[in-house]
Amino acid sequence: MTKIRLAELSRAFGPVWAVRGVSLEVREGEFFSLLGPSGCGKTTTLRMVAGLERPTAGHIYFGDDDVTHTPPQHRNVGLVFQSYAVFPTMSVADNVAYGLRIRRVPGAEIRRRVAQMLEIVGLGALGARMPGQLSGGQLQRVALARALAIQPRVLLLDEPLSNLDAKLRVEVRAEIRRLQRELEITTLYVTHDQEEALSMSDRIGVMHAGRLDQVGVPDEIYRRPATRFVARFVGEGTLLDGVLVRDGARARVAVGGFEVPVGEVSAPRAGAVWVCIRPEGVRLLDRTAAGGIGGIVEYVEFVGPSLRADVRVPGLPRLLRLAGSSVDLAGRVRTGDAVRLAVDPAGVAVGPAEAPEAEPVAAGGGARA
Amino acid sequence: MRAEPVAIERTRAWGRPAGPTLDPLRVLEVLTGAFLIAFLIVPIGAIVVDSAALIARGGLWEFPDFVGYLVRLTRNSLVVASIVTVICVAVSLPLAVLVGRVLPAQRLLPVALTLPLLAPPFVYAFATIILFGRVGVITQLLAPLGIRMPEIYGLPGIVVTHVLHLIPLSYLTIAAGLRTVPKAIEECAISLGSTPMQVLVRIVLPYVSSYVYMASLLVFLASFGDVGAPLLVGGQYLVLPTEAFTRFTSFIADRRVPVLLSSWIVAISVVILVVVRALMRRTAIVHTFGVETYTYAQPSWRVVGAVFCWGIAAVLFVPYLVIFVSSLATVWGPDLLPKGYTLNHYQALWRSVEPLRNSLLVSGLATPIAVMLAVVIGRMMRDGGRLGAALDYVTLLPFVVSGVVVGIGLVRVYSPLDTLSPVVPLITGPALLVVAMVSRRVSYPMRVLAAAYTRIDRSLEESSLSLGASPATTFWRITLPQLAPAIVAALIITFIQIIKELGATLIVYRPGWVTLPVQIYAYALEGNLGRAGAVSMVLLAIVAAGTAAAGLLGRRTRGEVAS
Ligand SMILES: Nc1ncnc2c1ncn2[C@@H]1O[C@H](COP(=O)(O)OP(=O)(O)OP(=O)(O)O)[C@@H](O)[C@H]1O
Ligand SMILES: [Mg+2]
Repeated sequence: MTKIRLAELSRAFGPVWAVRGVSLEVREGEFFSLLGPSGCGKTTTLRMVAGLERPTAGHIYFGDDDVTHTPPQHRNVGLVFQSYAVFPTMSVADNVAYGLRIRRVPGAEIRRRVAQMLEIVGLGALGARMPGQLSGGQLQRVALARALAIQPRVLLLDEPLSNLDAKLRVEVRAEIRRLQRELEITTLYVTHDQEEALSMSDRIGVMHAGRLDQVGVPDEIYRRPATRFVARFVGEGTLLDGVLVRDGARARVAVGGFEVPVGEVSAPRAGAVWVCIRPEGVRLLDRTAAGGIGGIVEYVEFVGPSLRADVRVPGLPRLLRLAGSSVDLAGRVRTGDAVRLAVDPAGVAVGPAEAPEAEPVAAGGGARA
Repeated sequence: MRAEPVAIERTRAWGRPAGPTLDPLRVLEVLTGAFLIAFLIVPIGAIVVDSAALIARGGLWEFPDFVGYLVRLTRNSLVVASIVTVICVAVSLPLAVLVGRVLPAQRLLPVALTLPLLAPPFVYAFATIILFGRVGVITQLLAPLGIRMPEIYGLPGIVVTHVLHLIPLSYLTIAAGLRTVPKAIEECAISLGSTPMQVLVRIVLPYVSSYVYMASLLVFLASFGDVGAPLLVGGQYLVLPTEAFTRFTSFIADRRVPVLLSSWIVAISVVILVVVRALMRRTAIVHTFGVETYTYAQPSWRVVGAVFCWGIAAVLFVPYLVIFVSSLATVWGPDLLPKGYTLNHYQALWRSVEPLRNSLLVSGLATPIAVMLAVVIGRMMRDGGRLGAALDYVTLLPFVVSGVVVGIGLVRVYSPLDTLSPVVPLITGPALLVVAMVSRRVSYPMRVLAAAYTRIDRSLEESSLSLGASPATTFWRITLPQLAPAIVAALIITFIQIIKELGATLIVYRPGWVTLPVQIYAYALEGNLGRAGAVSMVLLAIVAAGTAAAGLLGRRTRGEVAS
């Protein structure tokens, strides 16, 4: 068990900063996800941890060792790629044995460990197969077994599930998590899929344009996003800009002619804010109920167990999203219906307005084309 | 607003593990670099430097009328190469379209059309003599009709020989381009109401224009640099490479003249290369390979196409037939057909097998060296950034300039070593021949391997590193096994190219080291076409066997990838 610490880690490709000043700590045995949109620098960060990419600045520590300048073959990390990268010229067993042979582990011990690893990932019978004869999910398991066979100090996974179909993804996801818990291995997991990150991680770091916007446990990331970007990228909801008005202990955000009640407001004083209303913070009232907000259902989406609806509310620049069990809402919301809604402060996040969101910034300061 | 990262401290270079470790890959890279410098950059550089020094000293005025002579030669060379290029591209463009788009079902056609690439150009040259010479077969056939063939020795002879020999090269290049045009593009254009002809001219042609430039470049440089055909059928029509050759090998002539001519050839070739590459870059379209292609099904096109394509294929095949017949003929001419038939020419070969042995030995030694260099250079090109790009140009240099120039450069730099000791001549003799072949042809395996490297998934190598393997181990256990099919293909292709090489060989070879091409050239020069034909057949047999092997192998490896 080794903790990973990144200190002001940065990487520039020519004029473009792929990663800028990322500092974070992955605790011993922790499953830590880097979450962010395409191009935000997740892969670059992970590759620097693996030693495949050279940092432009900053340091990487495994435990107390500064490994910033250690070449990849001396870092003892387990690495799993999105493309599996299973050696096509070797059998499954030879793939798993590769790192052990490099380490000159005795033959009998290699055979024992390979068999054990294949057993763990559920490929016990397939050792003799060539990679060409395996499915995507099986290949991913081989890659995982190969990475774990060397008993690495840390496990690094870069979007390992992206090439799998939706159902398999959920399955392998659970399996990776189970293995990680059993082996208590410190894990850095890169993904752009928020559901994956929220469901698997002990903690999540949300990246945006090369920087780390927020680090926290999944619940915190979802309920108390630190920035407008995190609020928009993680989870759904209606993101609005407004002005915070304090009224004794209660606070509201004025958006156009409309007021959103907000709960315990930690950060902002009165002033310009963004506010994110999550679907679970929007409640459907009876048509006859007094009060609430009136709107017209513009669009209804049925997704099996649940149902989503976007409601146009006069005075609001964006549609308000409502979600609920499809049993509950069936027949109550149809396109074109007039509905009444209430906003629950518990389902509303708010934060101070920021400068316009920066795209990945060129080193010279200008925006990238 | 997020803060700028404070005072970004630049990271030190990669730390190496303690202790003196000798990375075998570094050693290979250094050796390869040394080879390229010693046998490629220095020889060609020496020619250029010599010439520059001579000109700077005002030495040009020592040769009366040198400038006029140079202008005449340059004009002749450019005229030949331009005419050949125009004809070749003009013929192969419709050829490639018809074969690829109208007659895709005729599988034999592409094979028939690429046959001439088997033979070296000088073999085609003496077929030209037999066909069009003063008592040539076609000359005689036309005479009763009152048609008098123009004198073949000179510009017409060179052009005919080069066109026959180089049409396949431009055809193959353009056909490769056409295969990258996705079916959907042509279907869209047709559905928008264009006629097939409009689609070809407005959509397809611009799409493949970079391939057309490429074809022009290859044909132009091949024709511009060839020495065999002009020597055999050029007559009094002098071109740059032949003059460089004859003046370099004759004892009375001043050696400074061929050096000047050589550097002039280098200059022109490089300018053309740079210009055409720039053109290609401007017009290149990022291609998706392995796309399905469109077929034009107009019946009239099919008929015209079949006649045109098979007609060309037949014309391209005639020289082979001629060479074959001449290898069996006692005397051919002045009658239409040979006077009699004999196996004497082949029996004579049997009595002196040295050229065959020499050719196999030199090619057998040079080929693995060239491929090994290519493996190392290909890796450096992939990983090496600017150095890689420079390597690309360096190895292209001996490919684009005439073989004669490569030979002159090597002899100019290394033959002075002859006088040093009795051992050295061995090095400057046969060994220099091997070196010359490697330098001249290393760009062939390089193209093959550069392509193979791009097909390897980098994350495989990265996985190996992260599993603890050193870069050298990773290369040996992960990279090389994946390169294996490409390496075998490169070996065959390079062997074929080397065993056909004449220009550089003519300059570098020493007595006792006559190769097959040199022997064919010598027989043809003394008019012994029967012997020349027999040797050519042997050479062709070797090359054909290699090509067939490469074809089979290509099919097998493609099959593996597909399954
Ligand atoms: N080798 C490279 N050369 C130049 N730019 C690069 C290189 N690798 C990455 N970049 C740039 O750095 C930025 C971050 O890339 P990175 O691959 O880390 O993103 P990512 O978050 O992993 O995205 P994705 O989800 O698409 O994989 C991008 O703008 C990318 O274009
Ligand atoms: Mg990535």
